[in-house]
Amino acid sequence: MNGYGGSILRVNLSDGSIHRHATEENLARLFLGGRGLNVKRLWDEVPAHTDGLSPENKLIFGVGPLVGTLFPGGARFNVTAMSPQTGILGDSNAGGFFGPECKFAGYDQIIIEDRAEHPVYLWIRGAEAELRDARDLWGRDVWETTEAILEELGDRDIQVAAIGQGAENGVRFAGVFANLVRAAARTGMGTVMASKNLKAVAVRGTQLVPVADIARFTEMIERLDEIIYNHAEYDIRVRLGTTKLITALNKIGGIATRHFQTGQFEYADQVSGEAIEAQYKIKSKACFACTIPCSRFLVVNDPRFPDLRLEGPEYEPLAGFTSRIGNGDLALGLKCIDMANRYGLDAIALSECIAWAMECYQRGILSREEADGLDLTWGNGETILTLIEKIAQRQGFGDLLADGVKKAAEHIGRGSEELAMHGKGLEVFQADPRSIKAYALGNAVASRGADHLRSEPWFEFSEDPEEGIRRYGIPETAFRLEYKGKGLVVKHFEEMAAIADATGVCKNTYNNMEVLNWEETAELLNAATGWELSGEDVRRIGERIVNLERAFIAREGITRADDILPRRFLKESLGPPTSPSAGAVVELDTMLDEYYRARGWDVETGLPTRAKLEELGLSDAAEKLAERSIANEKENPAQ
Amino acid sequence: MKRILTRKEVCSGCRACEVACVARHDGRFGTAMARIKVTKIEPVGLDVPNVCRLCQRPACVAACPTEALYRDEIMSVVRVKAMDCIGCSACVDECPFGMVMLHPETDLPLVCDLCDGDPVCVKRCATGAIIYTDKGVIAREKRHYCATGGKSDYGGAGA
Repeated sequence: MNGYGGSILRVNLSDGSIHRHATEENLARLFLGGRGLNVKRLWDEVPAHTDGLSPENKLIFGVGPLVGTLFPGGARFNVTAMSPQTGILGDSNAGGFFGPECKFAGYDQIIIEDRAEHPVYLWIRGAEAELRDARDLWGRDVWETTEAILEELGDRDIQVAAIGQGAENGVRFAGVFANLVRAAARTGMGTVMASKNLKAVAVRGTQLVPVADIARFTEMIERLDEIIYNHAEYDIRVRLGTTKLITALNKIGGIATRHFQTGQFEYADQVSGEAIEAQYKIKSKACFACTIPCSRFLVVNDPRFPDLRLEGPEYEPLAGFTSRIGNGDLALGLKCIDMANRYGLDAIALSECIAWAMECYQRGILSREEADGLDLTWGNGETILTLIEKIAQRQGFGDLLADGVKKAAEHIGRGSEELAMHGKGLEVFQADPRSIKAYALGNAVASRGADHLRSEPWFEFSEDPEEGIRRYGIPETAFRLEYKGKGLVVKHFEEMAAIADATGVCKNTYNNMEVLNWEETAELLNAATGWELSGEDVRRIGERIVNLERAFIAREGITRADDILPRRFLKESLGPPTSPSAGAVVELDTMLDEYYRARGWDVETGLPTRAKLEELGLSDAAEKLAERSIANEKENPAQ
Repeated sequence: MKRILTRKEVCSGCRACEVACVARHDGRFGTAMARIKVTKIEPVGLDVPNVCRLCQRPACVAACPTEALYRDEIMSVVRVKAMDCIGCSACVDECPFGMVMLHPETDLPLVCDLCDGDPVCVKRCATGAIIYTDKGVIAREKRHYCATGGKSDYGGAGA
């Protein structure tokens, strides 16, 4: 099967059985792979309302047809399961080298079922796979675990995806970490892995992936490299990666500061990507085959944190452990990121939990006694480090926060629920949605809970009204503070994000830099697979994935009422008064109307219509929703 | 004479060179059959592109019991006579740099052929960590660096 590893590996941890079968080409044509094929599998095999931590949940690793190819950054693997954090679709992905190695071992998907009696790790060596004892590894962090496995197996070309103590201890927002720092962090996929007693997956592959037309593929990649090297953002992305956003978002007044109480951080210059570059950057690092080495290896020379070396970070953890929690100490922020990586925790959720606690303390909702005597003043380094430890170990006050901000706020009550910055139970990212309306909408409707990576609609930063007219017929789409047309923008970028995640490429290049259009994506996929997809076919695959995910969360009870943002973003105007985003709020309802209409979903309920599902070849999903009286029988309003 | 030289100080560790090498020589995607190999030690951020040194007196050729390997004096590369190769891996064992490997499907030695003068690994390298240049360039740069204490594009002294 051209462009694919060709096999699916199915591992039952309870009886230790390991089976493989051929990748189903009919499914690959409908969902490609990665996130697409994963959600299809989860929809088919995991019943509604399955508890994320029960043995009935399945943990699915998947890679797409562009993974392990010449595509710059065709590196990503998806991990999908029912989320123990949100109770809906759990799905997260990461780059590095683990994804390509799975493909070279011959696998497009690895399905983990049931639960092992004691801790094990899965060792996949091409066609051979075995479960190995991991009792000695339990209790060790991501770095120690990875090193111990490489040592035990005696080959540093092996790629390891592991969990840390956070997941073992049942922190609900623990991730799966490959290459030490490549985090599939969101929605608690590491927590699911720990509940199955699976400490790590180690993989080595020496196969060749067949390609339908290598000459055409190579030629297209040469062209793509030129587009990338000549891209206006190339230099700054290589220098700073996504940490460039500290300066950029601070300038527009949209950086999450002290838990979104304001949009500008007075210490932004001290904690910026530029500051990291000047003080700690040793060299640029990259994911598999990427010509935009946007990651960085850092050596942090600070006597308070001996031997602090790490790769990265991205903007999200950096802003999370600086501006969001009111910390202007860069080395401390990097130490927090390193701790999150080693314990194996989602930095967005972790920083939100700390920031939420600090705001509750500021407002007198939370007393010092309730927080184990910690002084929760903004930016208090000692408190921050202690809290990370406590959360990872689920000790004392940390035990409360370890369930995520939604559950923590429900427990504390006293109005703290309104301050919990989450959507559908998933913590909001590090940009203020009030300053960027398409991102606000994207967060509200994202299928895994509040998240920017389900859409990444960068276009609203473009300030190019003519392009706005060309694309969406609406000039306002090109401006971040405007509302008109954002439903169309989010729909478009959701489909792009779905294709990026289903093919296994990076959204920095595919969504934010827009290096390929639908037709070029089709051409590249055709060169890899030998299929004859049109650009519209590819877009429709993206639309199909988005719709199946919507059906999935509809089955869990999600409707329009859940597509909301925290009150602060809707009601409180964004400060400071001097910033270019001053006074902004999010008027969500009109954007939602426009979005559901563009999607062909029911505007009142936000549910996918039978007509739309059938149009996309998802009749089965329409049937299953109807059985639960969820399906919406109304006419498709788009037709 | 031109050679493939490497600068580990600027290698991002992406392994685009490996997959480009395999795509050219095998027409498929993979890394295990690459004639270039990046050694990565993640915890310390070490990424080292290893290349065939195109030795003047190649140990791999000397080791071959069937004379399946020979040095092409015009192109200055080692070549393989597939029909004569018995797959014994003596060449693998004798290369002082560990840069001869056997193809996982054919068991034939993988040796660098410089892509007939236009190496794809060099073309694909985004950071300048793999360069195709005159032998001695990096040594010259290092001498310059040591002499002046200044900055060199080719990395620090002793690098």
